[in-house]
Amino acid sequence: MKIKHNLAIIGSSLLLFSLFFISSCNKLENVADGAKLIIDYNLIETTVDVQLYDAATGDLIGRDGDASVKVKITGPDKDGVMDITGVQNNDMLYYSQRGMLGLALIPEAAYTPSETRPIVFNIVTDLSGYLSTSQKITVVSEGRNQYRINMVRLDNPPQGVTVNRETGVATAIDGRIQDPATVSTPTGKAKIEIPADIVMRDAGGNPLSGSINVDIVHFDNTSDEALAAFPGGLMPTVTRSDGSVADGMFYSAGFLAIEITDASGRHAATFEEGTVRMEAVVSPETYNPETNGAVAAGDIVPVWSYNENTGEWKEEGVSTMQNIDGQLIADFELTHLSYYNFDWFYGEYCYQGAAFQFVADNPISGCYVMGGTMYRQSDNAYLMGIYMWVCPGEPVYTSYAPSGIPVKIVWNESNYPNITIAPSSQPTLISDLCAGGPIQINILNNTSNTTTVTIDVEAYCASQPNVIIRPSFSAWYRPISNWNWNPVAMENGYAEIMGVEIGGTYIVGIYYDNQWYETEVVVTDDEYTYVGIDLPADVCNEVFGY
Amino acid sequence: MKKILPYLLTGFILLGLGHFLTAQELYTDSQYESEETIDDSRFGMGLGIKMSTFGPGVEVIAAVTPKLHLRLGGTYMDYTYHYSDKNVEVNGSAESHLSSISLLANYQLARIFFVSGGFLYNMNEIGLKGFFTKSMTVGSMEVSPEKIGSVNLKIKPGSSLTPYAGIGLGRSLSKNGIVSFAFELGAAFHGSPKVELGATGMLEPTGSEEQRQILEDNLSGFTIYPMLNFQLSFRLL
Repeated sequence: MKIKHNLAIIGSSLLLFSLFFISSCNKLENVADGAKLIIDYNLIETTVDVQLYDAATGDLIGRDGDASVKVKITGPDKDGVMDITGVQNNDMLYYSQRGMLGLALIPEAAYTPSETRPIVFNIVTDLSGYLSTSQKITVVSEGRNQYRINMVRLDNPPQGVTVNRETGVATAIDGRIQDPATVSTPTGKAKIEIPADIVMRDAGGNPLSGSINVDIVHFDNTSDEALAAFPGGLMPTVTRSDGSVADGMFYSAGFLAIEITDASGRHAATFEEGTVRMEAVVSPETYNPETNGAVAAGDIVPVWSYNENTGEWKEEGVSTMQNIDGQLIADFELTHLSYYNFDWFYGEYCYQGAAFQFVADNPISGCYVMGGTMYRQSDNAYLMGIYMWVCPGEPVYTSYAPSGIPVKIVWNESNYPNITIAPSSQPTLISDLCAGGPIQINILNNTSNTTTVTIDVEAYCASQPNVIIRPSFSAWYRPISNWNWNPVAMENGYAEIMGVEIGGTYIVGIYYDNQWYETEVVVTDDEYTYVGIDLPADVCNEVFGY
Repeated sequence: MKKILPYLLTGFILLGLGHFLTAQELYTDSQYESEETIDDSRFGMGLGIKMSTFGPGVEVIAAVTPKLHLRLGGTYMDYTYHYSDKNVEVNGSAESHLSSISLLANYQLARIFFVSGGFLYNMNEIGLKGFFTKSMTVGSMEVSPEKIGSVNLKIKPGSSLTPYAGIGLGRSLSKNGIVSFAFELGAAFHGSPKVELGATGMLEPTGSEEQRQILEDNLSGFTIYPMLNFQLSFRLL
């Protein structure tokens, strides 16, 4: 009896223990279920966000996905530039998506920007039907940089830019022009004279042949719209006539872009056995910094040619202003074809200007972009567009700022419904951007009916669903009825968008490896939305190796 | 240490088996004693050495009666296994820290069968760590192992104070002899394990609270830590 009792206890005990262990082993098989390897793609310390606009319409070029601008990176630090995914393309060629391009600096010591070691490169843009242009980029500190490039559409130029596209103006046989020709802009502000017997060749030395076509584009130096689209900008790198290279600022007296092509599409680059004369009417309102007054007959102005491949200007000579029939005329004999510019060059600048402190009447929860236009106070001439990435409590600096010159900044209307510039700061007058203390900009923050939403972005490869990539770079958003994209900073896949209207519908997009991804977001009370990006196989392979 | 452990374990088992037989012989010698003739009030004390799934350890055993033994013991073992995969330039390590303090009671149900119960102060901890050993090229960027970062996982018992129940063969303290051997199978009910998850560098989001919770939920059913114990005891009093 006692033995039976003991056996029963032993048997029950063994059964109980067996059940416990079987239960435990089943659970152990699924320990990692649902867990993922999540990668914060935060390798990049410095970004350069570029938006490419049509100078006349103010629309992003290809905003509907119907055009992509070819962008070439040139300049001294071009080797330190890559796209936002960390890929450096062959020949430094990139293509915009929806008018936007995300660039970054390689995070190596050689390309870590500082005031003593600024990273300088050029963005050279090219799109059929548009005038090729460029933008010099100077980065003096790590962080986010915003640039806007205005491109001139030849059949719809902005105010202040006149275009004449004439076909069959002359005939060339084996490069030699048979008859003289003159082509003027519709307003008569610029013209070129092509003599007979001049020989034209393309950059490869091939002679032009057959019917000759001429495009001539004139930029009025007194028009802000024209100067905002000025190829290369007004703060360029130049090669002086003595061969020295200098950075500085142009005081423009006018700009001409000339293109001569033959029936086969060959572009004239060099002239032999003669020169082409160009002539431009100079506005009497033009400011001559050398005389510190309005330009007058007899004034001498340097002439510069533009290398659209590198975005740099070269001093070709000088032109003396002439008074012809009551108009001030500058002219120059061309031995090669390029864009030409009548400008005085001023070489005083600083890489990092004074600090700007944006002070809001109500606290602002996130970062935002403030844009404006900088003018010289002396002649009220357009200098440059400025775009500042403002984060609460952090100073913002202008890079590559003109020195010793009083300037003023006229701030753009904010893209954020809650933010306006206070009247006390509009415009902002600055005696010298390269000297003095911080510049306070007062802004008004109206928080009613707006909120902050968090966007959660994850990218993944179908081949590795358990690996999640959380990007750390720029995202963009806009109200569904408005094409003004605002950048937002994304870190570890999270982007906070402030100042959006409750109930409003927004488009949120990111530019990633030459592709544009976007999604529609309705702002609700939950203040949160998720965006999943299924990366193409080639991206997975290129960036992550699987 | 890790080279010595298998020998120690084998030695314990061989020694234990030898003495198990001795103990059984001793027991056998006294098997003709009537249960009624055994002095149930006889107090005894002994020391035990053991090798268990909590690591090697020692025990002080008090025989309150020949059938009821109280055991106060402790175990400790650290073991690290290093892993290296040259194909993907990943190094890893698994660290197990096993230690406990136990207060148990054995009740001898039959001649060589006993049940055991009590509490353990469970200090077990399992850690896993993985990191890259070489830089990776991502696009045009060279990413250092430090930048990539590492993942650290630690699993601890849900409750440090762990109830324990087990069954065994042999005796934790010989009734009449000096040496005894016991084999014990049991379960420590440590509750749902706690997970600590951390990651650095680019892998930092892997160590998020959400991820930690997923692992903890997956482990929540693993509430029992199995006990397998071989013990050799020496009666001193």
